[in-house]
Amino acid sequence: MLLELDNVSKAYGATTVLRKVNFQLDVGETAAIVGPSGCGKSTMLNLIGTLDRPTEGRVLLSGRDVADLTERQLAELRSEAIGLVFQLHHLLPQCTVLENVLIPSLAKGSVGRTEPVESRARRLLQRVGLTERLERRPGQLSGGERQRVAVVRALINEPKLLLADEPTGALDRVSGEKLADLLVELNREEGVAMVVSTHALDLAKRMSRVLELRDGALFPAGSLA
Amino acid sequence: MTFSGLVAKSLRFHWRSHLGVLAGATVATAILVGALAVGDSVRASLLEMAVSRLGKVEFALNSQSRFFREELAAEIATELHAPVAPVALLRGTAAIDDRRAGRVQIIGVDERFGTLSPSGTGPNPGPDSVVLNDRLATSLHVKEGDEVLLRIDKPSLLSRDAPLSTVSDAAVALRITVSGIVNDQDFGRFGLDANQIPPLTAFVPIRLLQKTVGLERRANLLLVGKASDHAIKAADATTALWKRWELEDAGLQVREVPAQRSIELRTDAVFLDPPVGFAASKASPHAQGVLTYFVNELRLGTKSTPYSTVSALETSVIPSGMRGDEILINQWLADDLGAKVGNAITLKYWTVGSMRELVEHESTFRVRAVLPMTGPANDPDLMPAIPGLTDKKNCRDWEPGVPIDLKKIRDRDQRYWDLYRGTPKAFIKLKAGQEIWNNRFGNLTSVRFPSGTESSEQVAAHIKQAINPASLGLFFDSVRERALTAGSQSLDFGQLFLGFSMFLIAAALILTGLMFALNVERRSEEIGTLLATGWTRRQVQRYLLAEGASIAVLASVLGPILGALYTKATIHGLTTIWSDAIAHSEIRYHAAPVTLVIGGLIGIVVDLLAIGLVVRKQARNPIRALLSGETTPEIDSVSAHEPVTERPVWRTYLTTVALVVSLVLTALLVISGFAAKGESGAELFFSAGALLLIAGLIFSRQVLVRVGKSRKSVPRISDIALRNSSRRLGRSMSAISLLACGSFLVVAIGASRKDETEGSNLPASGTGGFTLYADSTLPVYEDMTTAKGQEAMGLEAPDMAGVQIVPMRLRDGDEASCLNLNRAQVPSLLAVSPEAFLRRKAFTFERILYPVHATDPWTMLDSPTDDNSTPVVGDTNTIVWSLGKSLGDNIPYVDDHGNRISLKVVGILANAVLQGRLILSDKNFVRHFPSQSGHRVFLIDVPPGRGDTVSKALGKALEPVGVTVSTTVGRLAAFNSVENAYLSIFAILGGLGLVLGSVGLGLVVLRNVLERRPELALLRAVGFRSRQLQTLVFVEHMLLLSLGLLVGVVAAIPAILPALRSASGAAPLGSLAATLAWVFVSGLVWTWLATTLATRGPLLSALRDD
Repeated sequence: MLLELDNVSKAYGATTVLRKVNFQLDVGETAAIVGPSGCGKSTMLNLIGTLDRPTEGRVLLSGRDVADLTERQLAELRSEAIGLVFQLHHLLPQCTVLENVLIPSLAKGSVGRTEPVESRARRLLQRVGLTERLERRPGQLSGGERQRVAVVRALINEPKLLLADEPTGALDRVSGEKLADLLVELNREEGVAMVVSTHALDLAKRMSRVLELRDGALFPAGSLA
Repeated sequence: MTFSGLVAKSLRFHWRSHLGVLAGATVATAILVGALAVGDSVRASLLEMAVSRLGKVEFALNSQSRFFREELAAEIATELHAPVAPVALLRGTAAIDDRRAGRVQIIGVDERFGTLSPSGTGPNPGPDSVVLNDRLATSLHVKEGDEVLLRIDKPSLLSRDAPLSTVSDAAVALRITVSGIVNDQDFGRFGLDANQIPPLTAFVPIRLLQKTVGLERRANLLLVGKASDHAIKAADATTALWKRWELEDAGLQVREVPAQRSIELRTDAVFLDPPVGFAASKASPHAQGVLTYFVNELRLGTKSTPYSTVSALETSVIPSGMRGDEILINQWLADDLGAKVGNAITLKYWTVGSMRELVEHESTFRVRAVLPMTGPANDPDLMPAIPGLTDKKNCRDWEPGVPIDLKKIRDRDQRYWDLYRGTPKAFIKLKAGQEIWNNRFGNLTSVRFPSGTESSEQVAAHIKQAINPASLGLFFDSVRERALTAGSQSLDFGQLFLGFSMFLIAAALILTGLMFALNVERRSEEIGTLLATGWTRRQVQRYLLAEGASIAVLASVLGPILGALYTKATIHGLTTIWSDAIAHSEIRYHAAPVTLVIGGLIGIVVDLLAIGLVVRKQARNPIRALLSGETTPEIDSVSAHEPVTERPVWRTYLTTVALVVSLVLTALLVISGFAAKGESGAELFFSAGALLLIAGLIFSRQVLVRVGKSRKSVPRISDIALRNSSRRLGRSMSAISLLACGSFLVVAIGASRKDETEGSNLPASGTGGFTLYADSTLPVYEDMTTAKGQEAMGLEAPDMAGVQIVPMRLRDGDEASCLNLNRAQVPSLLAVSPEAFLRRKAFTFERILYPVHATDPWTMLDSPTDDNSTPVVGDTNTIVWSLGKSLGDNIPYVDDHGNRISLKVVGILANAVLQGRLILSDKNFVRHFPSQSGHRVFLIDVPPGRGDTVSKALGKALEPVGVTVSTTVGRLAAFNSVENAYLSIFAILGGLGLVLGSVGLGLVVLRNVLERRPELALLRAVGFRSRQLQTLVFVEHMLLLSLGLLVGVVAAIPAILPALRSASGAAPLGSLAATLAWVFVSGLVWTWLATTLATRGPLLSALRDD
């Protein structure tokens, strides 16, 4: 099992966002988390992405409880095993497309990678259709292009798990669809497991599982018309 | 993509934001470098002055009152293959019309002196003319062609304090035309004392000066210059001196006395110096000491013989077995008195006490034998050369320096004088004579050697070999080395200005930190992204720190450039408005490259510290918060997390209790401060101020909490603004505390002034209870409190009625006061009779070495020390700052005999009018420095209301000795002006720091507003106008600014009470008020600017983002 949430709860002060959530994800599997705004989708992804810690319960990645990890180990985990894509691309404005993609590699050397990091970056960028944009800065890209760069950045360290928090939330419909295509294709090609939180049903439906977060609990989603 | 590449890209991309950081870091580095460069400039200027003071001179032999052969210069020059100049250096006064200058050094020079000057040409006074240095010419308003009157201290071979010496010719006048005025290059600054203030100097031809003072071809100063082709060591100069000096250079003569078949060592100074007498006595086993004394009367019953000489001998005249109470008389005396063997003859003679006080003593001896007027008893050579006596043909023309009644001299006395000159009429044993005529100038008038075995040359050679010339004051001193040490070890103005600039540096660093924090906060998403993509916090910190380091490095390059301007501005201040701080010295800009490098490196370190603190804090924030653009959670907010109702009651009570206790203690301290005197009072007032500051800060916190709690159904904009100020209570209190502490220190320290008037009439004060202080260029030998002394000095008795004077001897040296920037190497010495101060319990000892003397500390000066050193005391500035010593330390010194002695600091006086000199007892002084005769410093106690009258009377009567009379309060004020100038500098630089700090307030506003953009956007969305939002933010921050300044200033009031009460009224309240107003206005402007900047633009987008 790549990922397991075991009775995970999260509260902010008196407000409980997640209540005893259980969730599992296998290697290469994809899942979409849907639900209304404020239901806790981002919180759940933050917990999986080790950006936050649960109030109760365990988050296990490849069988390891992330609560047992130090700050440094968590950073290593994020670097090696998890790729994160946010609603806002969060690209560094001072860096070019290629450089932005390479940013995570600065956290760690290229040890253990199957191919040199820059070649991989170029290949992935070519794969997402940004070969002509390598030297552009984020400010010179469209919203869709930025988000594609963010996706490539998330994949640069060959993570086993890609977390995408409302990846199409800031995109127009066409760009959103293209990004959804891309995510699905990358899952297939790179074998990366994926958890996507989204309002976009089109995107959600393209994941192998769709779960709904409601009142802090996770349910299999009903019919997504 | 590399780490450094990313750093470089970030620097380039965010360069506009980094400009502010760079500016702050550059300013911090500039001030740091500037302060250090001020130190360099002062040190370099002092060294420059030292070099121009000594020109090419390396070593000096300054024998003071002992004049040696001028030829010695040429002889030593031959030995050393180096230029050597003979100089006659005398003290004097100069006057033209009614303009006078005391403490003038009258220097007799020839062309050799000029070659040693910096220019190599030096002052060359033509025949019968004088060349003045710039300072003297300016002080007298003299130009070339004017005629000045020099009054010169005439050297006397015999100390003016010695018995038989005269004081009537103690000074000679010389009217002379000014032929030139010389600057520093031509030795205008020449002097042997380490002082940055050039002396007043008149250069006259050495021949003229020698002739004027009656010492033809004699000099008392030898200057050895640099050799052109080799280095000269001190040992070389000493060797040359030992080789070339002659007995004549010490005023000694060896001559044959054929009638007595002996060879005699005698001196022009009447008494052989004790080291000479001792060495000569040991030079040969046959040496026989002679002490011939002038007696007022030889009496037998009713008969008496006036004014005769009596010799104390150990020659063959004295029969073996003669007792100490026996006397031999010659036939003439026996006839005159009708004396026979066995009669008791009484000798009456003067001995000299303090202030040349003559005390007539008498001793009675029994006649052992009557000697014939032929043979060994007929020996006129036994009488030493006594000025005013031996040089007179007629007895009735005698002027021996002691009062004699010429009417007592009979014709038969004149006939004796004609026939036998000074042949002693009686003889006693040497030991007996040395007991009754004991004096510090010597106990022998000659030493005789039998002439049968050795020639006079051989005897002279033996004597010379036995005498160490240093014991006679003939030794070379490494004056250049000493001058350079004095300059290089001077008060470190670099550290001083670092201290003064601490506020400025701190403000610049806070600004740097705030700017960087602002930048980092604006990049919180970037930081969040880096963390989310696997960077560790440490890596992120390193990344930000690398950016900061790059800015710091750039600042370390720019800082020194700006620092040079800061240094120049500071030097301008030091030479104009703050000239008191450097005793009106000429300081020029000089920054050593190594200082710039060190300053730059320190700048990098402190900038990085400031930036590092920010980075450390920022990188700690939660990743999710950073990604959403949040910076600092409002964890310290009163309104957010501290519900009014939940605030523990005990905390409110505790705060109130702390406030009340602080206020009560403040009141108690103020009351105690009024009761206390002097510095302890000032400390109490300062403590009260500090307590009030704490109370003020507690009060401010309470105000913010209360404002935060206040709830109104329909709040006004200002209510919301004030409530906002308590949202980030920690940040708000930090701003208030910084402003309050800064303004408190600036006002409290800046307004503090040493008040010399407080308790100045009390003996325990710095004045010692004396009203006037006088010092003279030429010594005063008379006791001006006696009718005789007053008459001799031309003082009117009514003027001097009720006046008490404590006279002190002075040995010139380096002034060890705060008015001398150099580290004093050979401090000036002051000798006092401890009883004079003990009686009136004058001055206050801050610390003493021997607690057993706690009740009568002045007695320490005459008490033995544990290491046989000479006890001295001095005031704090002298001991601690000028000499760099502390209680119990020994200060090496060379006395008049060339002996290395130790002066032990046994007491430290509180700020005293005697600052600048080490004080030792009169008894110890005359033992070590017998050549220093007379008194030159006077503390004068004047009946109330008569200070001016006495001052004028003394000034007028003592004009010939170049007296300067000042009030003790005025003298203390001159010393205090240095410290007060430091306080002014601190106040101004501290004020500048506060102004710079007020820019920081603007940055705080920016940070606050940027954090609250969504909230402000909401207010815009619901209809608030832009101006209303600005008002909201502005009012909030004005509360912080006002509270900070108000608390600081109010707290400072108790601390400055002593300054406000001061009679001297020197507290610069106006400039402080202006500084604070400037700080307030600056705070207003920056807050308004920041408010406008932060609230303009599309706020509503912030709302959408949220």
